Amino acid sequence: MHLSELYLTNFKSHQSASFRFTPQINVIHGLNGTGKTNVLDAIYCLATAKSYFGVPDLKLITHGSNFYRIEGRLNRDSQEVRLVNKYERGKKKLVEKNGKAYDRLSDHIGTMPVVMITPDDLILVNGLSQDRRRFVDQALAQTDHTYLNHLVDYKRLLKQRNVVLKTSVNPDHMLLDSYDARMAPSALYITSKRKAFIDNFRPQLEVFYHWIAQVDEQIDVKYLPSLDGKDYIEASQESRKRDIFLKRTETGPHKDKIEFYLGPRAFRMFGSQGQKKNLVLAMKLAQHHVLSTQLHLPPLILLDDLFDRLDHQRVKRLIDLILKSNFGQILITDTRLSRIENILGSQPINAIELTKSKSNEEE
Amino acid sequence: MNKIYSKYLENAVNALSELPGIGRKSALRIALHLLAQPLDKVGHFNESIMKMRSDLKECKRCFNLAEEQYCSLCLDQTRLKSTICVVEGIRDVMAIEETGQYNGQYHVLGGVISPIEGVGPERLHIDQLVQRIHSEGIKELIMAISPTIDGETTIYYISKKLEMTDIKLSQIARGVAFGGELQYTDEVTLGRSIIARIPYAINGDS
Repeated sequence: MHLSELYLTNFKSHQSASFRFTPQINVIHGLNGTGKTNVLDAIYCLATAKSYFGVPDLKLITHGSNFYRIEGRLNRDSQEVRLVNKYERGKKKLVEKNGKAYDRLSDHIGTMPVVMITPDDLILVNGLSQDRRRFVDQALAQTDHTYLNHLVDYKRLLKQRNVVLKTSVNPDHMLLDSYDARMAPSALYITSKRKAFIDNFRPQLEVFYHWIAQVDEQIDVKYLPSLDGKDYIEASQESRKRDIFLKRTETGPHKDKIEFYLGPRAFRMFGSQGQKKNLVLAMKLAQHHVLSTQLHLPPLILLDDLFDRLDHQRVKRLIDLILKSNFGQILITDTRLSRIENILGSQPINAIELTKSKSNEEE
Repeated sequence: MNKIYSKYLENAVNALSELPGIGRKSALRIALHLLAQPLDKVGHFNESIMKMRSDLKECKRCFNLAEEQYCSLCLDQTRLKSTICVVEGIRDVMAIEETGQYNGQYHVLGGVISPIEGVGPERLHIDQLVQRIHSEGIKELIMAISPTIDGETTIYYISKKLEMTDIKLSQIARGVAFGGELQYTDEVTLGRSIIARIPYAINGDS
């Protein structure tokens, strides 16, 4: 599977731009501020209908315009699929496949699986559990539509339930029961899929970590579900008093924890900057591996600002790994092309240069 | 938008553009159209709207539209007395009546439970429904509520309220649209249709 063409209109800094990509290594290079990351985010948006960086749709539109449009041609299973993601201020965001709009955006997720790797990803180690839950959810959503639907339902019901708790001193227990009953099947599904994902992910994480770090550090990842084997309804009943007192829902998958360990100690607290960078990269590669195995095709890799995070040696190891195994299409951004060319040697690459003026006109 | 020179015209345009789906341009077009009509025609137009607004009320029993205390459906003695079809709004009553497939009573809830929008159960006609079930000897309740997350919660809540009664509860079937093609049906709908499949009736209508 690979993305062969990309057309951007009024997407962030790209008023009008077009790109052609080759099935293997593509390098988008140019100075800071030429919109390299925006190209990768556009591809991410096309794949998942959302910005990787959590930018609201309205803010993705070029300043002074009132719509954006991303169009891509994807070669998948030896067929060309035309994907469009467009959004106009005040209207519904639309994703189209071969000219036909999806009724539900969730049906589209997974058509073009992607794994994005950016310097911001350190938040996966340093940040809160919610960041790590999002990492797991992103992977699961791309392989399992039922998961995504349960997740959307669960979040909506949770929001409603929290409003009930927040707005009444003496909440209607029957209403809380109703929310619990509706949330229970989703909570169960989410919990069991997250557990299965972590179980598949753990051995891969170890392999990739050792390969990048080249040291024999013992690492582990633990999934600590809020339900912890308990029935959702029961667990929720148990924490009902607490929920009412705190005015929010305290039990359920939105409270799940995912923790990484370096030996017996929490990675977050005891890992060095270098070890954390290795971990994040290993996480992404393990995610890529799990997705590849489940989807039977390698997701696109979007590597943002590669050299910002890794030293020369690690980049070289990463590139070697990518070249040796069937990693599929890769898009890399960097400020200097020569650095990547040095590492790739004679490997053919498709180099695309962005300049300030060029980002605003046809390629 | 052209500048409107008459204050009267401007007021009319402002009022019309408050209507759903009417922008200022359409409002101006309608206003100019009305201006070109004979006075008595506009008077009649005005009157019918006023009459509708002042004389239509909620049915005391089912909260459908009524000209008197009770709506025409509640007053119709030929309709089945022991079944109530629960709907969100008046438009749903109209839609179901249009099918000609139902001949029982209705109960209009006035929405679905959505605390985010400030709609708790107490804002809907749920208590009145429970009262009706007891006082009218209702045997069956058909939930004709949109299959959205909030709609499903509302159905569950009502069923919870009626747990202690022996009323028969059903909900309208949901699934593949009639005349629709399976390959174009979205996954969730198709998945649920498979789970909630129904026995095949060899003699047509199931």
